Formats: sequence, structure tokens, C-alpha cells
Amino acid sequence: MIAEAGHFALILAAVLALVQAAAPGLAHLFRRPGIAGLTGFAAAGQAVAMACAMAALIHAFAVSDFSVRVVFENSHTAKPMLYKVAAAWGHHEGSLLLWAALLSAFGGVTALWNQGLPGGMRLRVLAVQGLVSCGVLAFLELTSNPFDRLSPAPFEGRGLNPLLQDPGLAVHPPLLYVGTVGVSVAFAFAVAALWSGRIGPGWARAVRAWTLIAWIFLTAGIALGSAWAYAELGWGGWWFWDPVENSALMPWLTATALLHAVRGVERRGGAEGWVVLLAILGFGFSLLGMFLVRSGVLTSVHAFAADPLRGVFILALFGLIEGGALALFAVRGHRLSGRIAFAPFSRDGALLLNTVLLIVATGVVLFGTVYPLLAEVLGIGRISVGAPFFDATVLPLLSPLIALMAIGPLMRPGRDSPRRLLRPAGIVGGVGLLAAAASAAWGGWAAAGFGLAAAVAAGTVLLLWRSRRSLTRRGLGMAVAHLGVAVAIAGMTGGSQLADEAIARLPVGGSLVLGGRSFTLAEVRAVPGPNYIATRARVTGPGGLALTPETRRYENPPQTTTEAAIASTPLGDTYAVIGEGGPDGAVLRMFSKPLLPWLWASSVLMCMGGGIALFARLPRLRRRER
Amino acid sequence: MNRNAWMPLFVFVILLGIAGARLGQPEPPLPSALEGKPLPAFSLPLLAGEGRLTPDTLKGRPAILNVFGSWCAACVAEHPIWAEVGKRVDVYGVAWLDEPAKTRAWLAERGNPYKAVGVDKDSRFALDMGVAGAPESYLISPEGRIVAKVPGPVTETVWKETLLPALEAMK
Amino acid sequence: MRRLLLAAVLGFLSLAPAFAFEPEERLPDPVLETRARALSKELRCVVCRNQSIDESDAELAKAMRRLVRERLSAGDSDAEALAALQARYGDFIRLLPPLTVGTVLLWAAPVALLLGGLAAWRGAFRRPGAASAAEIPAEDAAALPRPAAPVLLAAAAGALLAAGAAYAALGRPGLPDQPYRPRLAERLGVSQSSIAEMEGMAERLETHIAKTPGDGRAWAMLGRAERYLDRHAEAAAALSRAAALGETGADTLGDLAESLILRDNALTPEALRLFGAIRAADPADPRAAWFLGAAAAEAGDHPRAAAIWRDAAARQPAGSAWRRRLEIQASRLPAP
Repeated sequence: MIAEAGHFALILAAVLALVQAAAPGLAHLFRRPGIAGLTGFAAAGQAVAMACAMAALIHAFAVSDFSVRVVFENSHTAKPMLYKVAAAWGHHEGSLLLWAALLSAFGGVTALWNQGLPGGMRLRVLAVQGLVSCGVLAFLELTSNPFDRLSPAPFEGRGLNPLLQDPGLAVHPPLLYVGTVGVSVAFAFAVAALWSGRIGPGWARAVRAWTLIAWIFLTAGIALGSAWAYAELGWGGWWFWDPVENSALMPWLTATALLHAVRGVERRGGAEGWVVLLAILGFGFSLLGMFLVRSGVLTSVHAFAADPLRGVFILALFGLIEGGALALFAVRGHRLSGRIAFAPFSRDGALLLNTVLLIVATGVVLFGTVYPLLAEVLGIGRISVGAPFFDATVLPLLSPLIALMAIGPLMRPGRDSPRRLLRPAGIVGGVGLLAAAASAAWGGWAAAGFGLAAAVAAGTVLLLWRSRRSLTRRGLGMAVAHLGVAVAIAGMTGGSQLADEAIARLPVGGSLVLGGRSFTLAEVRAVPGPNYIATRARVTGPGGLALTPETRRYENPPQTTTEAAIASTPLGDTYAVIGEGGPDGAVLRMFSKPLLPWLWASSVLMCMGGGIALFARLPRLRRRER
Repeated sequence: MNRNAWMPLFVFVILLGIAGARLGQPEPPLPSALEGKPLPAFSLPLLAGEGRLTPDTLKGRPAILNVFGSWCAACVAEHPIWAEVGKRVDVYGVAWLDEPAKTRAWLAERGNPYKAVGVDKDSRFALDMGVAGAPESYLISPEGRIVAKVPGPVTETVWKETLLPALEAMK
Repeated sequence: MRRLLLAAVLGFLSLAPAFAFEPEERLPDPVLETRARALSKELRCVVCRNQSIDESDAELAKAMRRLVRERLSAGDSDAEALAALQARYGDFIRLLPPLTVGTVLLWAAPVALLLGGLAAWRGAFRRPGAASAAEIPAEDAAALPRPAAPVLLAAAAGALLAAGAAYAALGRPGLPDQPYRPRLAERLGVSQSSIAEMEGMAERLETHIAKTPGDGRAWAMLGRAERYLDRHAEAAAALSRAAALGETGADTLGDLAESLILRDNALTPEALRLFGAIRAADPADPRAAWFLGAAAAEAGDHPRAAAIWRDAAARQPAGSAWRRRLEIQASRLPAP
């Protein structure tokens, strides 16, 4: 009965979401303020119910209960336990259930965690969260029921794609979901602010904390996905500007902008309307990602099987939630914004400008992603917008942003003068130009990349030095995250502009030259694995370097995957893949990716920086509560 | 009232409209860049015996060029119509990315409705014609102009509503 | 041919097998080759999903790469080579869309967004703005209102009732769980704990094999465990791996042949060949005789079936189960 109990829990959660959304209204209607308090109980109850539903589905996967349709379609008895459990969210229904369960969990935490906010604001936030949950749970139950049953039950399941049988993929979607769903809390705060017409005390602080949590998980999720693509796909690439990748990038860019804008509001006030809009857009991009992946309008390798009814439902849901919030913003948004009490030429002014630039970049990504659809609908014809477009537009847009990021934090809050800024800007700019000149031999892109990375690093170090006596934890967190960005830019630039590549069909014993280093194909042999046969090569290089790239041929379902062999040092990666081959030789393709490991290190730095800033917040919140 | 505050909603509604209009529709086929233009030069070896399939082979009478392959599942579904169409107009086949032996076996099993079949093993013809998948069919005028292109299988409806009227108009 | 449309996660799965590009395609002139690679990255593989021909292993993409290289070798400029493909496939083939009437909007967007953003930023400082909203004192009570106990109870009861009613309409209340292990135990007529034991053993063997894939005995044991668990395809795979690694005892080969028969649900030639080899080495092997006789009977050769079964029965110790079963089997054949 566990599967049926899970189904009941799912329905109960939907009913509780309805109560959560409606209680404040009912309280008003019946003039009984006490009723409004049901909202908190409903939110907590909904979180518990959804946790039960998710647990029930995981249980069905763990015991291979093929009477549950999604288990039959996506699992197999012979699979290792880790992948059986991970298969619970490796398909449309299960991943949506996880998404909804996380949404409920965030609602439950908002209900239980008094963030020093006035009761009225918390009530409104909870009601908005309840409304969003209502829509998502109705979608889940009515079009994508994960507890749909089969009777009689089949005896064996259909199995999961071998590519999904990877530990990274077991963790990557939940991480990313915590991020995309986490943005919904800021959204609820924004709508609640519009609803009440005022931004009360503690609002900005709470929004910042929630956004920071979401941002940390988004960063980790995207980095993990990229690292997986880099290691598994065998092209040496880690970002392809695919529509679905873009739909994870857009919430990240918006959350980054929100994080910085809300900091300004917290400190000085003034751009409240902008912050509210960013929060609404952030969750909008999360929903857009859900729509793009699940409705089948965009062709992407990541898309779930399309179902027109689902598409219509998500579109309606998207329109109601996001359209409703934007309409509310249109009518009442201007009431929120206070007078801006700082000059454009100031630290806060620069911060505000950078949030604008981030949103401009997001807008370009959005436009490029949906433009092919627009062209089709308008009858312009079929157009492709691919990586070269995004490289040519987004990167130039991000460059001034990063330059500003190097200098902005060194400016004075409130008002600054160009003359005073001359010295720090000179130092930062000088370091940047020096780095650019030193790397100019590798071309313009490399010079720009290394120059910007050096400038950001110099600016951050200078800031740390200046505030060495008064460093707050939040300041430290920011510095660490900004250093992370500098490291990321260096890693991306090195990994693309300094990269080298060689490919050859080699006999065993033959060698190829990659960036002046010679690598020898020492051996190729067949190696049996648990459910595949691998062709494994051994490649030896200078300094005792040995790499063992593989191709794996799975039997059931028949499919070939590549396992790149990557030797990482702090200076860079040496990356090898093999193509068709036998005992006598193989096609060997090698890349050198200087500095690329810095990209992964940078994501750790960014998450760490976020964590430091977040935990700087929490103790003070707790004190307020008392 | 602040007009700028309405901008995000305005943009959102447009996006929603686009998504709604596109929802549930199949991906539209790639329009042909060559429609209305003369056939590009090609010279394909014939599947049967000596000689070659060239634009000159087709000249003088309207013709249909059908790109197919024994590996193509949709071609199997489409195949029966060519016997029918062959009564009204000359139908030429181009076996794309296929081993001649496999093509022969495939045609032996299903019947050969083609007046002649050219072999395009290395996609040179396909690239010249802008072929993006099989099956794909072209209606060629007597002067050797590409009048219409049908990406995907030619069904009864496509034949009656697109190709046949174009063919009648030519005569 | 295609990047698979995968029912996957919102993740970064791009599923082309690597190695789109083959060494033989390269041009000897490194300058031309670099230009060809750069061009390939700007051309879309028309049969793929958002992939450039540089990353695709589709045949058509390969032909396009070849065309680009032929053109460049013949002295075409980059623009001419691009134009050649664009003339055939239209703008769709350009991943960097050319500026046309249809793409004016696309190319204008970054500039327009940037200018609009800068104007909005500058304008924000000129707006008078409301009295700073953050300063408005909160009218709200400090805490969440508390519902009275009866209200809470009534709401809880109401929610449960409503959920129950909806569940009755949407759910399958009568349908019990059907986890795999008890179903398998029932089908095999053994206890669940012995299945759990066997599953644990199979798992341990798999971890062992992952470390030492050359261990034929472990493969054979894994095959037996899979056989026990009724997973004949997996069993056959493991046992054939064991046989390839030198485990060619009559037990292993016989198990392999039987697994093949159970997997395909037919007396396949490969299985019979294995049993033939076993019987040739040891005419007393009862299982080989059993299946070879069955194959003969199925082919209608009853005298041969009877001969195989009788011969093997005579070689079994008196009173053994195999002897009885083979004799009964032979006696059931229709009389000649």
C-alpha cells in the first residue's frame, strides 16, 4: 500500500496547498483573523506530505514495484541500488515530483523559520507559495501522475539509458532543482511586497538570504553539469549554448543580479521596484526552463518526451503565475520604489549598473534562445541561433560588467569622485593591462580574458587589503566569490584560447604530438565491464603520464559511450579520447586544456563565498527572533 | 501610473503568445532554398547497368526525383505511392547513402517504380540539392527547373493537393 | 546519426557519440585546415539538434565537412564556401545567423537592450520616487495569527476528507504494492531471504568483477547467481564472459547453454552446439543428453531422441533422479 499512500499524500499536499493559499482570504471574508494562521500549518503539513510522496516513489523504485508505471518504464531489477534510487527522478513524472517536493519543502521552512519578519508579510509570502504549489501539484496530479498503476504488473522493467547510470547524474538534477525552486521564495516575497504595497523591515535581508541559498545551489548544479559534460562527452567542451543549458543559465544570471541589487536595497533603499522585478523574473526563468524542457516546443537534446496536453497545462500555469506577478508589478510596482539616495558615480551606482548589465545579458540569451521560435511563428523562415551568436553577443556584454566588478567595490558608497578613484582604478587597470599585454601573443580574446581576470583579482585583493581591520564575514564572502569569478574567467580563457588539439589514426606504438609533447599509444585491448564491453587504450606521455581512455559498448539497450581520460594538474588538463580501434591500433584524439581545472575550482570558491556570506547572516537573524 | 512598469508584462505576453502558437505544432519543414531554380549539375551512376543519371536525362518532360534509401523507414511507408504516381509522370529515384546491393534487394522486395535510379553513395548529389533527410522529393519542370520540394514522405494528400496541381499547371 | 532525444534530466546530456571527426578528413595544409575547422563550427548539421557539423557524426555532416574542405582547397574564400552551402540549405545552416530582414530584430536586440538598460539606470536617479518605502512602519502584527484549536481541527479534518474523496476518484485504493522480490520468490518457490542472499552475492561479485574483470571464476559465479534470480539474459552474458576467460568446464558451459535456451525461450543452435560439445567430451552428462534429445524430438527424429535419452539413462547410477527422468522422457515418445 506504500505506492497508494504516496498517491494519497500527493493529493493531500494539493489540498493543503489550496488551504495555504486561501486561508488569508477566508480570514478576511469571515472577519476571523485566526483562520489566516492556518496558512502556516498547511505549509508545514504540505511539506511533510510531499516528503512522504517522494519517499513512497523512491521506495517503489528501490523494491522494483513494476505495478507503478514509471518504475516499469524507467527501471530494471538488475541495476545497482544507487541508480535504482536515482532513476526515481530520471524521468518527467519523478523529476517533477521532486521539483514540487522541494517547492513544498521551501514553503515549510518559510512557515517554521521566523526571520524577524512581521506576521502580515509572512502570511502573504506563505499564501503566494501556496498558490504556486497549487498549480504545480494540479499539473502533477492531472497530467503527470507518478503513482499511475499497472495491473497486472509486468515482471521486468524496461531499464534506464546507460548514460544516466553515472553518479554525477544522480546528484546533478536535485542540486539544480534546489536552486531553481529556491528562487521561488524570493518570488513569493516580491509578490507579497506588491500585494501589501510596502516593503517592511527585514524584507530585504530575508530575500537576500533566500536568494543566496538558491544561488549557491544553482552555481553548484550548473558547474556539476558542465563538469559531467566535459568528462563524458569527449569533445573537450563544457558549454554548448544549448537551449536547456541556457534555461539554467538565465535563472543563475538573474539570481546573481538579484543578490547584488537586494544588497543595495538593504543598505540604502531606493531600487525596491527593481529588486521586486528581478525576483519575479528569476522564478519566471525557472518556470521557463521547466516549460522548455517539458513541452516540446524547442528541439534540444535534453528535452523530455513531448506531450501536447502537458505543454498547454504548463503554458497556462506559467502564464498565470508569472503573468499575474508581472501584472501586479505593472499596477503597483512604482509605489514600492523609494528615492535613490546615492549618486550614479558611486559604489551603489556601479552595483546597480551591473545588475542592469546582467539582466541585459540574460535578455540576449533569452532572445537568442527563443528567436528561432519567433521566426517560425512570424513566418520569417527557419533560423538557427547557435554558439557563435552567443559568443559574439553575450561575451562582449559581460566584459564591461566584469571590468566594473573589478573597480566598483573600491568606490565609495553614496558618492564618489573620479579624482579619488584614480589611484585604485589605476592599480587595478594597470594590473589588468599588464596581464593583457603578457598574454597578447595568444590573441585578442586571450588578452581580454586574462586582463579582466587579473583586474578582478587585483581589485578584490586591494579591497581585502583596505578593509583588513574591519573585514566582516559578508565582506569576506563577497571577496571569495569575486576571486572565484576571476579564477573562472582565467580557466575559461585558458581552456579555450590556449587549447590545443591533435587527432591521428595510430598503430600500437605510434605517437602523436600535442603542443610540443609526444604521446604514444602503448596498448589497446578489450576489457569486459558489468554490462558493457570496453575498448581501453593506454596512452603514455612525457613525465610518466599514463592515460586510459575508453569507449564502452552497452548491449541492452545497444549504445556506445566514451570515457575520456583526463590528467589534471593545476596548470591544465591533458585530455584523451579514443574512437574506433582494435588490438592493432585506434583513432586517438587529444586535447590540451591549459588552466581548465581552474573553472571547477572557481565554482567551489563561488559556493564557498556564498556560504560564508550566508552564515554571516544566520546568527543575527536568530538573535532577532528572541 | 508608470508606463515602464508595464514593459515586462508586455514582453512576457508576447513570449507567451509565441510559445502558445508554436505549442503542439510539429517542427516546420526546412524550406527549400532551391525552389524555382534550375537543377544543379549532377551525374550519378545508374543502379542498373551502364550510363548515368544527369539533369539531361530528365529534360523534355516533367519528372519527379525521389531521394530514398534502404535504411530509411519512412521510405517503406511512402514507397507504394510511386507505382501510382508513375502512371502520370516519370519518377526517378536517387538511392542516398546506400550500398547498391542493398538498394537492389530493397527494390526487388517492394517493386521498382522508378524509370531510373541513380546512386548517391557519398552525398554529393544530396548536398547539391540541399537534402536534409530521406525521403525527399522534387517536382522538376521539362526545362529542368525545381518546381516544388516535398521534405518527408509523399502521402496521398500531398500528391493530390500539392504535386498533382503543380504538374497540371505545367501542362 | 542523431543525438538521442532523451527522456532525461534538466541537465547537460548531449548524447552524440564522440568522434565526429576523423583523422583522414584533415587537409595537409594547416592554415586551410584551421579555416575549415572554424567554418565547420559555424555550420549547423541540418539533421541534428543544435549541433554544428564539427561535432556531429551524421553522414550528411561528414559530407558537408568534406565539401567545405574541397571548396577551401580549390581556393574559395571562407565567405564563398559558406555561401555555397547557404545557397542550398538557406540561412538555417548558419549557426551565426546572417543579417537579413528576418534577423534584424535578433541582431538589434543586444544593442537595444543595452541602450534601454543604460537609459533605465540613468533615469532611476532622476525619478523623484515615493518616500522611501523601507521607512514606512509596518502595520502588521509581529507574529502570525494563531488559529483557535477548533478551527485548526476542523480544517485538518476537512483537508483529510477532501483529499480522501479526491483520492477515491483518482487513486487505486484496492491495488496492493507488488515489489519484485516477493513476486520472484513466489514464482521460484523459494523464500525471500534466500533471494536476498543471492542478490547480495551477485552485487558483491559485481563489485569484485569491476576491480578484476579478468576473473573467470567470479564471472561464472555471477552467472549462476543471475540464473538463480531468473535473469537469464544477464546470466548468459556473464557465463559467456566466463567461458571466454577459460572457464570451460561442463558445468559452466551447460549452465551457459541452458541460460541461452531460457533467455530466447527456444532450443537455439548455439546452445545445442555447446551441449553437443559437452556430450562429445562426456557422453554421461545427463543435461546435455536431455536437451539434445529434446531437440531431436522437436525435429521429429524420435528414434534418435530415444537413443540419446536411453544411452544417457544407462550411464547414470541406478536409482538416480536423472536416470528416472531420462527413462520416463524416452518412454513418452510415440512408438515407431
